[in-house]
Amino acid sequence: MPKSSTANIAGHIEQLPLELFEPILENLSLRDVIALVKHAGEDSRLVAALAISPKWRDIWSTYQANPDGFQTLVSLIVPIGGKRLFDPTLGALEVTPGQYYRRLAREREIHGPKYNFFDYVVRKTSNTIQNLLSNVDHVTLAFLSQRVTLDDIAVICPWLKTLVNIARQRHPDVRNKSIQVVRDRFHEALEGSCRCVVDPFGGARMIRPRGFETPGVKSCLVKHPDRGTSQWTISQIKAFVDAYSVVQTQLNLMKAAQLQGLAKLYARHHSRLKEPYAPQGPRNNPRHIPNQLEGVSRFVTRIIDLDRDSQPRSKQGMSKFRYLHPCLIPYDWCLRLWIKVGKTNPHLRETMQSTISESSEDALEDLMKQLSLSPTAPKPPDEVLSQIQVVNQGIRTFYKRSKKWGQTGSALPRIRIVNSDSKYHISPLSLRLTLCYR
Amino acid sequence: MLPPVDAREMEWLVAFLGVVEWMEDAYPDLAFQERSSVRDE
Repeated sequence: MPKSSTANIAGHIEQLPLELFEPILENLSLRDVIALVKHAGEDSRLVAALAISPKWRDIWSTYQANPDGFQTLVSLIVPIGGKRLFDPTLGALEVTPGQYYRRLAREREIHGPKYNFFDYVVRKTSNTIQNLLSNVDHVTLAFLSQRVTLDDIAVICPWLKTLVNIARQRHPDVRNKSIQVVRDRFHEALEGSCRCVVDPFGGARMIRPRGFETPGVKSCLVKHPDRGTSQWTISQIKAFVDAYSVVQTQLNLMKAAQLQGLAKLYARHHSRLKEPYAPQGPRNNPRHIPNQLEGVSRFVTRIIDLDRDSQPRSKQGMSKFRYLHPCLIPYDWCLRLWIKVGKTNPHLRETMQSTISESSEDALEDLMKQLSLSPTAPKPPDEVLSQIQVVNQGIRTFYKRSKKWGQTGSALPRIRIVNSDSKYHISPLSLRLTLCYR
Repeated sequence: MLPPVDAREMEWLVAFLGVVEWMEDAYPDLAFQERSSVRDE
């Protein structure tokens, strides 16, 4: 039986006699009611029933004081990877009338009669997101700050709005640099770092330029309410959650596509590919690896990196991306074959390849004599020649990641000599785990 | 979070396997010899 949507349920409830509303409403949570009201409309019988319900009328008046805010809070659930949901309110709206009144009584004892439920949920959600951001790994943060749109940055960090506008109006030659400055400041804001300093002479706050240290001026470690860093407003929270959902979905799909691509590649090249640290001998069950990769690819579409503590299975997805190279590597014999053929076939040689494209046939003959190469060596088809070029370009080191991933360091060698027996293998030692977490 | 592998790394692997496939056709004896010399390390 297909699951009823909230709109269908709201439609069914509208057709019931008014006396049946109360027993139904008793068992609903505030989140359910807010979702139903959105579909039923302000003139519905459901709204009329809520206004006169003995259990709901006080809660309803709280809702009516800020209907748009409550609707936004309900919409904050992040659907990632289909069924996977992440609720940044941490269930604050999942309260029945009984739970609501008990919480109200308890909180009013602590905070006084001015306690406001809506403000409490906004504060709790803001704290949840800020706590998650303070614990998230720097790669996620770097990726997020590079991918969030400038419009969203201006909403999430209102104090950067002027910088965003300035960056947009800059000349195209320097625009990217200005946008990067905005993104760097956004990154710092997500990290919670404050570059505010107090002028020791005038007492006024000012922004300390990057790398500029003034003697006697200490960094301010307080998050200032006027800068919007102490608590996010509902519009800031909404903009962040929406932007985060888009970025995380993009990232997950990118990783899933890579795993599916590797599964297909292995199906075709299972005699040439293996997992790092796997034996150099042939594998008896060639279906195992593509099956596993396809399974993990389905899993990685549901990863929420912001909330990694709640994802115990995320290690499975992580293990496939722990290397600088794909999680499948060629067997050593493939590399030995490449080296041996390269010694006899000029088309595989990087140095010759660049020479061939620019020199005459006479020069080619001279070069082949110098290198004792066979003039009868088979010539690869054009498609393979272009693949040889790609291989030669990247044979020395692994490709370094761009700055957007927050990774630095020198390029690691792709091939290392194991011993003097001229045995080579693709280096499996390029673990990135230590680089990715702070 | 561990980021996806650099796209150039995927491209390199595909290219390398394509070249190995061609070398196995063009040099069947050498390829057989190398494949047969495989031993666990």
